[in-house]
Amino acid sequence: MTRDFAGIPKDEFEFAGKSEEKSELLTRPSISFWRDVWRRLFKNKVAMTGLVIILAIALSSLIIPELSSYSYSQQNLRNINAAPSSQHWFGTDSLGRDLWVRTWFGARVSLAVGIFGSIIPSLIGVLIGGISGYFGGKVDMIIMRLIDIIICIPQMIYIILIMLVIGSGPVPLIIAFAITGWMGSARNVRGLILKIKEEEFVLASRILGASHGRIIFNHLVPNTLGIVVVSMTLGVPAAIFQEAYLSFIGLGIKPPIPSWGQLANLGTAVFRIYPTQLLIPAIMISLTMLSFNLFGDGLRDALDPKLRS
Amino acid sequence: MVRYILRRFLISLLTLWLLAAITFFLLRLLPGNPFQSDQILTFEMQERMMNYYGLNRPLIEQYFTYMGNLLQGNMGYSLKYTNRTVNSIIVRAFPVSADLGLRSLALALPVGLFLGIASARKRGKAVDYLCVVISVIGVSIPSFILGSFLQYIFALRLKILPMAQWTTEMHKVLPTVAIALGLLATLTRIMRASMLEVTTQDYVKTAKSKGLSEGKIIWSHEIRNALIPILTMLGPMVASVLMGTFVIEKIFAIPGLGLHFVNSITGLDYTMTMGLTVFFGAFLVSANFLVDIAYGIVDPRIRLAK
Amino acid sequence: MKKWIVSIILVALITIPVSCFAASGSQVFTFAGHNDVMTLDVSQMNDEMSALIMYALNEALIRNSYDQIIPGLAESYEVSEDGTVYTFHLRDAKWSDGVPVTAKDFEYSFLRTLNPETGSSQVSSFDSIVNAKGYYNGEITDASLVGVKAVDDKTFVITLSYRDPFFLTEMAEGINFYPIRQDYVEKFGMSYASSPGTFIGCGPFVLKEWVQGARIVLEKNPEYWNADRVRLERVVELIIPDENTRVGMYDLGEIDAIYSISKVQTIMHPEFGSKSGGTLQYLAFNCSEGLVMENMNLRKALSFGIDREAIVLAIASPGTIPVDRMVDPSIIVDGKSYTETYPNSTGVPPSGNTEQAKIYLQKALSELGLSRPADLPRINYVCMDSPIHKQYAEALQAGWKDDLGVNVEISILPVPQAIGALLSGKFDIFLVGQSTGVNPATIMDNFTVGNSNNYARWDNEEYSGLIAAQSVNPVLKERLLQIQQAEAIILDKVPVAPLWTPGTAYLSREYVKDLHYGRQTGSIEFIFAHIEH
Repeated sequence: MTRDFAGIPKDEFEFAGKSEEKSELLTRPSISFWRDVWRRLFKNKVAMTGLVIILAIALSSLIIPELSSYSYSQQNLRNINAAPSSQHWFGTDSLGRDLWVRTWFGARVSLAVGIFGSIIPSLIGVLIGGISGYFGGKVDMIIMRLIDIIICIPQMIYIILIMLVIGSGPVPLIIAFAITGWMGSARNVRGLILKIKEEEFVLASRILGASHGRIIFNHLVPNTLGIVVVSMTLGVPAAIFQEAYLSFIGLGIKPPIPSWGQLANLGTAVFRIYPTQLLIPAIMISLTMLSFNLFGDGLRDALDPKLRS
Repeated sequence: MVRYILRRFLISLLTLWLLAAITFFLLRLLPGNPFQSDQILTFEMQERMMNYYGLNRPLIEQYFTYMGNLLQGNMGYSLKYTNRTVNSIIVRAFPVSADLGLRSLALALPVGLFLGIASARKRGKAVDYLCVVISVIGVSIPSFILGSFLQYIFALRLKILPMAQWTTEMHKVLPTVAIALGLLATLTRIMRASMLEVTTQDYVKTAKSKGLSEGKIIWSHEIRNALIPILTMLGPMVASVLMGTFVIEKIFAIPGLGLHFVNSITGLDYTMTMGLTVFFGAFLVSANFLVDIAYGIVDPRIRLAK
Repeated sequence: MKKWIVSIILVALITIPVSCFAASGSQVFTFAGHNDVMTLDVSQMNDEMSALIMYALNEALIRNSYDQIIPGLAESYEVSEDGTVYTFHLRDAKWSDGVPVTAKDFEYSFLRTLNPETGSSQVSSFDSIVNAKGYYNGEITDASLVGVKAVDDKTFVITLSYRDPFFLTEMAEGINFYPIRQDYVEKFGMSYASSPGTFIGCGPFVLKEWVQGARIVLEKNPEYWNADRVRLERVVELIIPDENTRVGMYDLGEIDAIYSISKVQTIMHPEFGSKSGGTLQYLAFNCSEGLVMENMNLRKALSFGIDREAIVLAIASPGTIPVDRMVDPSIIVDGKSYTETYPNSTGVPPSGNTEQAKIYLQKALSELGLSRPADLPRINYVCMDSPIHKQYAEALQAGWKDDLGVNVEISILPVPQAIGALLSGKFDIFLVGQSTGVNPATIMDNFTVGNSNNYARWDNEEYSGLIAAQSVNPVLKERLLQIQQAEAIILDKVPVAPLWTPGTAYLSREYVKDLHYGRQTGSIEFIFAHIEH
């Protein structure tokens, strides 16, 4: 009796027969790319926690200010710096304004600035970086030079200028971020496109006569989409931080509109006497940045094809 | 290679020149007057001062005068610190900011890279989770809030480190740590992601199948290639360290450039702002230039690419 | 080798405790400032930090000390019959390098400041001197025509073009009347007074160390003519921009005094002191034709609708007093309080009068042909980007909205841009803070017809006539009466609404004795202080 690998006797093997359908069978169930991503994301508890927190904060920011009897700008100069109480769940600030409402209204502002301040520059960057990478040559060189130059001018100058011309508030701030923040994204996308352009399937497509549009939509976009989405998500904490920083040095959101950065700024001044006025916005900022980071990380892991099980 | 370097150098110069020009005109677009302060100056006095400093002459004329002086290394006198040249202020304050920045980088780089590598290699294990937690927390707490907390705890309450100023080594600890933590966190995350990306590449599998030792693989293949994205980050990171030190410098009373920077923009000290912008710009341009050269050395594809 | 080491260690062991001992018993005063000194060039100085240090490093003809005018380098002086010629007799005093101070040093200093080539922004303090204005405007090129003369080494004569009863007090409180050493200026040119090596003074202290942005160290000047009265040996100013840090260092004992702390800090430090006076804050309304604030009743409504008391209580630093007139209550003329001798009032009580405000508002609305406050056109309140100004703006805005239903929009601009808006008329409401000086008419001077500093753009011939008349009136009593009459007009028409005189809170340890806070902002007088542990 001859033995094959695994030590099983050869005559115990039976010919299974040839079959057309069976030879076409895939070894595992077919599942689309995005369904797979979703599935893996769902399983990632840490990332899901992040997402839940984000949604909870966002929802609260929309609902809570509407339910409150105080407005975010309503002052009560005879009840300043009050501690948390049943009347004012987070207490009042130095002008007697209710901090509970201000914190949640500020959430709206900070989240809006954070999310749009990340998405819009990303999209602009994708557009410009994509054009630069796809067409290459002179176009690429000019655009890259332009980026090199613009990146060297301090962001402060742009922001002050824009604020002075358009006015202050969340929208001008988002515009300022959009104008000054697309460069990183553009560079990344450009690099990515340059890499993909040289891949064989793109080459094959071109030889077969596919138009620019077809190549872009069928090949380039799907391959970059995942990475762009991840960088947008991870860009939100950076935008939130930027807003906080700018408000902290007095250049961001102007009163009486609250934002977390502003609340942190106001809270720092009284930190040693009324610590809650700084702790609350600080925790909100940190928690939100943390959640976006965790979710973004999870998203990136989910999009990584090498982790397919 | 030489042609590559030369080309990058010329482009750097062009960049610097354009930067100066754009900033010059942008600054003058800002409304307001550098001579006004809390004590409101009368209109006549304001105009007198503007004329004295030549600020009412045609803008183009001012531009050429300024650029001419700049080429000779003369950045003029500050409009606020009336008897000090912009050069002297920068020369005095820059080393302080640089000291703070370099210390933070020196602390953050090795620790961040090490943690990134360690957590990538032991992916999914306890070490990895710990590193991720540290790095995510570090990235989520803004440096200025961290700085205030550290100062409050270690200087005011525990009294083991000085509160402010930049004199002895002990004074330098808290501000450095406040900045380094944020940097460290970012570096860890990037290095980890980069290492994971590289480890699954084909050339690593090839090296393994060739029978190379673990250590050699890690060093010559994985880490070297993983460093490329870090290099890209280095330029802007250095820049942001210098910029972001402003609040830390304010809280810890450190006499660096950060304070001058924001004050000169909002106070419309044109000469000072121009000087600082050109200075930072030159810095960034040089940093990018050096990174480009490093790229050329590390990645032959880039050198040879058209 | 061993012997050397032992000796060194012994020496160290002995000297270290000795020096510590010396340090703790010595007269060293440390305080914190929020900004660096801009310059120590007498001609260019225009900020409080520089003025503060210069007060200790240098000495003028007379000095304002503990709210009194005392002799400085001038031992005595005479004033001519018509009040236009002041003759100062200098005492024997020396610069810190031993060179005697002469009248020439004063002449040189004043002429240098007035010289158009110097580019000083402080020249208007010399306006009353003969030909000063002409000289700095370039109309006169011969400096010898200016009314400042060093007759001989010890005699300095100032000639005014008109009798000015406030001249001496203005000179005592001024910051640009110090002498300058010509050889130093000629030697160092533009870098003059930018470091200890390039500066020299003749005051109670000498500049020992100036680490830019960090620290200034002064040491007692043994050559000072009044050195016996100076008891401190060393003064250290630390530059700490962040207030929390300043207060923290004070609590840790690293600083002996902080000047100008914000309201919030006083809560944890109930032992604070406060002073007020020297500045008046008021709202300027843009009364230009066609603008919404042209309507007088609307202005009155807004003024009556402000609860000054509550705002001061909640926001302003301790020592701030609500006012209802355009003259600073702390001004003393001829030994008497001006405001007590010549009363006046807008009629607005400190906590405001909402009913009265609503009546004026109704009048305004009907004059404008509107039915509700919400129908008013956009009112633009331009606010300087400083923490306390922003708080004031918000408080005022909320008060007008909640009590009167009037919506006011706030635009926050960095200080230079905000002032630009003020000067160019691109505002409807602006909160102005001005030094009140020693002359009750100083601020009111601005609001005359054709004056380019008439922020309110208010044209009132009667008022302008009175102001013009009082400025040349040789009889002091009549002059003060005319000022009162003019004030009555401006208080009635409300082109500007007086708010309050800001106070300043400060902290200093009880072991620092004889520390004083002068009337001008920024002056913390430590030159005659001492430490008593």
